[in-house]
Order: sequence, then C-alpha cells, then structure tokens
Amino acid sequence: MKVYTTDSPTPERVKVGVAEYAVAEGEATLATSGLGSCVGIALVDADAGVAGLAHAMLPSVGDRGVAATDGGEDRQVGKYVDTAVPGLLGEMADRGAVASRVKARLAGGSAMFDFSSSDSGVGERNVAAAEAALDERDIPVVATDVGGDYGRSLTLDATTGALSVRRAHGDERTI
Amino acid sequence: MNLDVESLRTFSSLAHSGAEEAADSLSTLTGFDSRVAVTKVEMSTRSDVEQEFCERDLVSVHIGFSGAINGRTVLAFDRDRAVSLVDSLVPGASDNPESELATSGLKELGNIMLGGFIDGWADFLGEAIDITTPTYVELDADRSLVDVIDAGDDATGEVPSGEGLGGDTPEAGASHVLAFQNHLETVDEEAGFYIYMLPTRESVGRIVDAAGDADDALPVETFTTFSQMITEGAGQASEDLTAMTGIDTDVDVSRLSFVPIEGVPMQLTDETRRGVVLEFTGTPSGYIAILFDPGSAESVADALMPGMDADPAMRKSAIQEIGNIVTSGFLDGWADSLETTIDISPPTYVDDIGSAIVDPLVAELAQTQEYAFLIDSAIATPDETFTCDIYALPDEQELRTAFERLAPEPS
Repeated sequence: MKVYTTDSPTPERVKVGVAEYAVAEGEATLATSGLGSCVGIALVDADAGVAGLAHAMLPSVGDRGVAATDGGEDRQVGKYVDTAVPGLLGEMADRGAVASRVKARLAGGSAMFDFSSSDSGVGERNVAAAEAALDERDIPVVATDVGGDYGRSLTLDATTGALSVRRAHGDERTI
Repeated sequence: MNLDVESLRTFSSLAHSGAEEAADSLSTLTGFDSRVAVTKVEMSTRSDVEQEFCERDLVSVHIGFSGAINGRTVLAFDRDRAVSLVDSLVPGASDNPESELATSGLKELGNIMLGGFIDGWADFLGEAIDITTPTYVELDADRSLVDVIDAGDDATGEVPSGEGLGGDTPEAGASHVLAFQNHLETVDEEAGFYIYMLPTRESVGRIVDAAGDADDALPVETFTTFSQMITEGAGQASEDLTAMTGIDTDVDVSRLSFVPIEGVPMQLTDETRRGVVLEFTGTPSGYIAILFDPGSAESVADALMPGMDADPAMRKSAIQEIGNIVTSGFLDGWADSLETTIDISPPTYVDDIGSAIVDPLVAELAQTQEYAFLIDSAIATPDETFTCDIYALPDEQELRTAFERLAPEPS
C-alpha cells in the first residue's frame, strides 16, 4: 500500500482547538478561532524557529477539582492557563526552544456579556493568570490585544512570531 | 433502563478514544493527519440522525458489531474527501471512483478505522466484540441512512432486523436512542469524516450497568421526554416566528446531546453570526443563543419591517425582538413541563464570530462542570429565506434536578 504524502506548496497550518495547545516549527502557522473570554497564549523562540499556541478557557486548575477521567489528561492541561503555560513551554523545549529566548503575545480575554449570575470576569482573570504564569518564568509579554467586548481568531506565524488577530467582519491587526 | 451522567461520561470518553484510534489508523494508512474535533453523545431519534447525513454529499462504510454489545457503526466521508483517500490507498482508483477497486479501498479503510473504534469498548467491557464485513453505501436524496440500515440489516442478515438503531422491535426503532457522533477533521481543513455508532438499546443498558452510578440513575425515558420537550419548544418557537414574520418556518433540527464542555464552541465556525444571547434563571438556569447568518438576519429584519428603509439601529432592535420571541417560545414549554418558573434576561445583541459568541457562555459553565447538555435546534423556512439556530446550555446539575422532577421514581 502506498503511503500518501502531500506536495503542498503552502506551509503547514496547525489548528488548535478550544482547551488545547500545539507546537510547530519552521515554515508553519498555528491557528485558533473563536476566542471570547478564552485567552490565546502565543509563545515563540525565533532563534530556534519553534512556536506554540494555547487556547485556554479558565485561569486555574486549582479553582476546582478535576477528575482525571474527564476527557483525558491532555485535554485538561490545555484548558487552564496555569497548566497550559508550563505544558506548552515543556513541549517547545522538547522541540529545541530555550525558555530564556521565548517571547509571548496574548490575545482574547474579552468581556462580551454581563451575566447576572456571574461576577467573575473570566476573560480578565484569564489574561491576568497568563501574565502571572509568564512573569513567574521570566517570559516577557511583548504585545497584547486583550479585553473589549468582541471575539477574536488568531493565526501565529511560527517563523516570525507575528500574531495576526482577526475580528468579525474582517478587521485584522498583527501584533 | 436507567441512565446516569457517569455513564454518559463513560460513553463520551470511550467514543472519544475510539475516534482517536480511528484517526491514527487513518493517518497511518493514508498519510492524512486528522484529529477528533468533537465527540457527542446524542439522544436522537432516527430522523435526527438521518437529518445530519442528508444535508451533505456523503459516501459511507457500514459495519455491524455483535458480542458484548450489538449495533452498527458508520464511517461517512464527504465525497470529495473520499475520492482523494481512495487515490492514496489505491493509486489511480480515483479516475473511476465508482469502481469496485475504489470502493473496496474505502471498505478496507472503514474496516480498520471502525475496528479500532470498537476495540476500546471491548476492552472496557472485558469481552469480545465481533465486527461484520463492511458494506459501501452512497447516501443521497433517494437513499437515507435509515433506509440503508433497515435494508442492510435485512439483506445481509449480519445484524438482526430492527437492531440497527432502536431496539428489538420496529416500534422501538422509532423511539429515541443514543447515538455517538465523532467529527474528525484534517489539521488544515474543516471538511472531514464522521463516525457514528448506533448501539442497540440493550447494549446501552449493558454499558450503563458496567459504568453507571445506580444512585444517580434516571429512567432513560426521562432524557427522551426532555428531548421531546425540546422538539416541542422548537415547534412553538417556529410557530411564533412564523406568526411574527408572516413567513412559514419548520423545525429542521432539534437535538439533545452530551458533550465535553470545550466541544461546544466547536459546533460553530469562524463565520459571523448575528442574533442575541440571553441568560435564563430557574431550574434549570443557563444560557441561550439565537443566531442567524448575516443573510438570514437581513431577511428576518426585512420581514418584520416590510417596505421600510430601516436603519441599522432598527434592524438591531428587530433582531432583538425576534430573539425574545424565539426564546420564550422555546423555553416556556420547559417551565410548564418541569412545573417551574424560568425567568429570561433581556437580550444582548451580538454580531460576532460564531464560535466566539458561545465561548463566554461555555467558560461560565466550565467553572462548575466538565460536560454539557447541549440543546441545538434550527428553524428554517422551506425556501431557505432564513435559518435560525438556537443553542441552549442549561446548568448540568440544575438540569439533573429538573430531570428528577420529570421522573421522581427511577424504574
């Protein structure tokens, strides 16, 4: 049986789902869509050409007990900012990234609704948790596009570290 | 037969790992990297399952299984994707996708992927599950999934008639059943593959016995009654929408499913959606989003203000009003059936990336629950002037409390 290989001229594009993270190298992009209160954490070691993107939903795994059976271990790690950051950094290190060279960009964490039953401001707390987790590891946050009351979709260029932030109706900026 | 949330989690987890096995097999065999996007446990009727298939141009491979559990699995591909897969398996076969060579390539792929999918269930139950020879089926307007299952079961004798979807009797076949739907996608494209597993009612019972928490169990009819209630709510919302706009509408889809909470936003895409988000409080409380694609939103606003040159603010308030009407139509029946009061907040207008609209609702619920009961319905005009999608996310624990009211004595 022949093993199929692609001859695609376009660089690899890796999709990152909700509560997941992924790492890519070289001529590749990482993309995630539909960030509302979720926060996108983009990390790049440009010298090593290794980048990672996380789409985290909640600030901390410590806020609540998490049963190991709930959807698998990997899924849970990407769900919380405080586990996604070390998880992503660990995987980047395995691919040759050096923590002291890594730079971070953050996007998302918006406050789209004002729910009566909630006083939590999940979006804001997600961004604060990401900043804290990165600060703890001396990783500088070089650019952010956070807050507001709208959704975002992200594309990270693994080579340059440029993070393209797209809103509804095609508004796009690169940070 | 009783069903509990712990069993639903087990079902979801087994289906998810099974789908991951299948995705790995696909990558090994064809080089196509794929990932499991969403795993859903659907409390569906046969027609609901059929609905999911009939709107797409699909080819499928069917395999029956028997032993520890009995039923049927279906691997469905978008037709274009099937052609490219065939070529990677059997070079040149895509020149004639209808050929025996091409279909046998897909059957072999189905055999391996679905075999991998089923293995995890056998491991969990500690008992063998045998699978039948795969059959290749094209699904189109003249040949629905249900036709195929009914005919296939009779013609091949591989699975006794009537066991394909609903149970041991033809009557049971029409009732609600559980279906496990896994959406696989390739890393770079939305287009994908679907794995359905349709166990018999007895087999669902078997797994519940093995996985369930008897103290927490409710008769399966509780879930089906609620599912029925959702269908009725969607019907009421459709009637109210028609009354308001003067345009005939029907309920296209009405589904209750159980999904890992992070899977909910993945039900929507990056496309822009307009509509409203509301919060409801009571037993249960939760969130509801009434969403239109931009074209539908314009059509609805036009229908409410015929002949008027409405400015954006008027259009926005028309959409909000529609959202109110649809929400109360949808939820009022629940309150009656559950003998409770459900209060609905004022609507918040949204015009944003579809998946991002749902994301904050999911994040709120995710603080207290790992899985969600997702209610999704679609109301559409027969001529496709507009489609209105409804997503409701009740608090899981409160919904369970509501279920207990529906069924005070588990049987």
